[in-house]
Amino acid sequence: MVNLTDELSIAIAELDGDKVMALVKERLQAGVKPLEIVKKLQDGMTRVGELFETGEFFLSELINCGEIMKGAMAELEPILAGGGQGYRGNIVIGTVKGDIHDLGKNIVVMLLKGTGYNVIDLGVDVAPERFIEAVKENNAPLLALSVLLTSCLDSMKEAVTKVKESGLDVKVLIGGPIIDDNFREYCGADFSSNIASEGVKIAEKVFA
Amino acid sequence: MAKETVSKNTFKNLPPGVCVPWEQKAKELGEIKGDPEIIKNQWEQLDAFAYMYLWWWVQR
Amino acid sequence: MADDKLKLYEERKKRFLAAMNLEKPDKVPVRLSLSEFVAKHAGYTLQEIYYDLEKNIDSINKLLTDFDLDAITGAPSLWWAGLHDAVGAKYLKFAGRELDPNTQFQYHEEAYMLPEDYDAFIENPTEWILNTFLPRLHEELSEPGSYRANLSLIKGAAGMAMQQGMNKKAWATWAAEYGGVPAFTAMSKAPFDTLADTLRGLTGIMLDLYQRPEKVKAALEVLIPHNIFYGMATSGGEMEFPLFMPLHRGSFPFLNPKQWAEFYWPSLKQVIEAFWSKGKRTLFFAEGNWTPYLESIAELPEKSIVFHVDMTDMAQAKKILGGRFCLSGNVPNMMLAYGKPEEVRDYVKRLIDEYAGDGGFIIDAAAVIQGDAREENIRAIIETAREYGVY
Ligand code: B12
Repeated sequence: MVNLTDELSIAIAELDGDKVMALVKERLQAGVKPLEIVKKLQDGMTRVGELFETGEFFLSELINCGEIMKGAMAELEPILAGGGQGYRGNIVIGTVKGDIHDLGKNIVVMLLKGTGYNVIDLGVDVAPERFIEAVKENNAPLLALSVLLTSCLDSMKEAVTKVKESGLDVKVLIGGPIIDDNFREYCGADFSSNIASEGVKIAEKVFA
Repeated sequence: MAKETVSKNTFKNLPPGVCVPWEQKAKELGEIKGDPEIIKNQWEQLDAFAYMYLWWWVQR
Repeated sequence: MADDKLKLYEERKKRFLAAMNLEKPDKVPVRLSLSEFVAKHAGYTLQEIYYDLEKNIDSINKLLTDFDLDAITGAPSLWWAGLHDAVGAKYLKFAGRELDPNTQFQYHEEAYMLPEDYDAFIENPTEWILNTFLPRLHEELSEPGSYRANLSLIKGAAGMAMQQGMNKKAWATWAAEYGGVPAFTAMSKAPFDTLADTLRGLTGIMLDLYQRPEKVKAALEVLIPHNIFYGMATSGGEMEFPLFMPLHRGSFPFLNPKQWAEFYWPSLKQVIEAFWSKGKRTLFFAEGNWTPYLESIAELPEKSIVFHVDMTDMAQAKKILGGRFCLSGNVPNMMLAYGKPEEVRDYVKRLIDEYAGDGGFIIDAAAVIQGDAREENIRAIIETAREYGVY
């Protein structure tokens, strides 16, 4: 578990929204580089993700943290020089066609962002073609798919198949509460997991 | 979103099943020549139907 | 009612009620929460059952002809898409219009209630629904008082009455001609879910818990009598069968234990106890995992609920709730869609061996059964329960 020492990281891990906003503004005025501030925020968010995995935090804390982060990023993004730089790589993610559940996927997004990836989140009910386009456009080495409805498992398979057929050089990670190894094989995906933090470990491998 | 403003309520603290209370309607009707119970009964039934329609969109 | 069908109806009803009363029926009852599967089986597209009330109802005739079920949950689509179009309801998307003709409907969740609405809601929710909520939810009502807006109210209310009238007639037919028994005859929600599902939305409610907890509590307090009334009104005086309560935001890991105990449970408990005091039992349809909350749920009056197991630990549920409430569940939906009949058979046998021994158990799938379930697997559930589930 990360050991937080920075005041801003601690404030976000403690879900103190007012303090986070005050510190972000204060540091910007003091001339701290926006990217450095983002890094501190990410450290705090990673901690929140860990606390969720160990069962100390629940969705209510995660969503609250996500909103605080959104507020802070709204301050920072306009001044972040050109975006892109400083990221460890691009990852495309989305919930497959026919399925609109996104809470689990949003956690994965948060953790990936927290570890420094540029995450292109296509949202829910995403058709295979849109995944292919986004992977191409962003030259992403990793595509992550989420599904909750058993009735959309075939939609997941279709997405994986089409991505593989497109010949793109991209690894596919599938996830969701009902996903297991059998299903990974059935779909032809490279990785699978039903734990959000596993997604980060898998990304580490892909981007190693 | 279409409508951002909150409109003011005409009534406060109405019990469930009621949109416009019979007491209010009775005042507006003034003198009732026959049996008020019959009229009240029908008023309340249709009022409860309207209530159920409104809550139907919330209880799902 | 033909004599043989009447006999069948009575037999099934007796079996179903006995289990809910913690008695040993002749066999373990089978109640399946079937939705889109029914359309597929009857050869209808999803567009047809969402849009055409008659086909929605007719699909159950076919189901009842082909499967021996002790209780059924009714027509596969709860919603009439045509009525949604008539009012321009924004929060559902249906097959055949925005979606391909054979896809599952979709929710479009949004905060249709804003933080500044709390006071008006608390003061008079019914009036707030009509004046503020519906104009946001219904495209056709976006300019209240206009021609289109007035029409949408007429069509909406008439549509509800039409749909309810047809359903009522359908239930009478299913009973008389097929011996079909209802799994439930009323519906209501946990006050927290009412607020969190359609009104504030998930993000909204989660932030409210931190930013305006007192308003949330006041709103829940206001909702209690409304949710009780709604349940009793939808039951139409029928008291033998349970009331359906799909439970959403109280599952693990949505709220932390403190929030659950403070915001979710007290108002829900009051609603369920009120139903029970009037003689109406609740089908506690616990979607997801409720294992951490079983001890609290055990506080409810004996027999006042049927506890449905989706992803809750069944062994824990039996240990903590068994002998107090009837349990139902939990054949995995993944198995119904991708497994083999032998696997289903083994699973059902194990459920019967481990959980049905002293009565008070109903066989069902874990979650709602959609179009992906295979017919041979549905048959395997029923056949195994019939052969192996004899007391
Ligand atoms: C919340 C919810 C909804 C919300 C969704 C809100 C939203 N914005 O997501 C609403 C109300 C809109 C909804 C709608 C429906 N739902 Co729903 N819903 C749920 C519920 C209660 C919780 C799901 C959830 O968010 N869990 C919390 C998150 C954090 O967990 P998670 O998704 O598993 O994610 C974790 C892991 O799986 C993993 N993970 C997830 N994705 C990924 C991806 C990667 C790459 C990785 C590495 C990891 C990973 O990380 C997360 C954290 O560890 C479940 C029941 C339950 N309690 O599980 C039903 C459930 C999933 N829904 C169900 C159904 C049937 C529906 C509906 C069809 C309508 C209905 N009849 O209820 C519609 C679907 C419409 C559609 N076309 O999709 C069924 C599915 C049954 C089945 N056969 O598959 C369930 C199981 C309920 C039930 N018991 O019947 N639902």
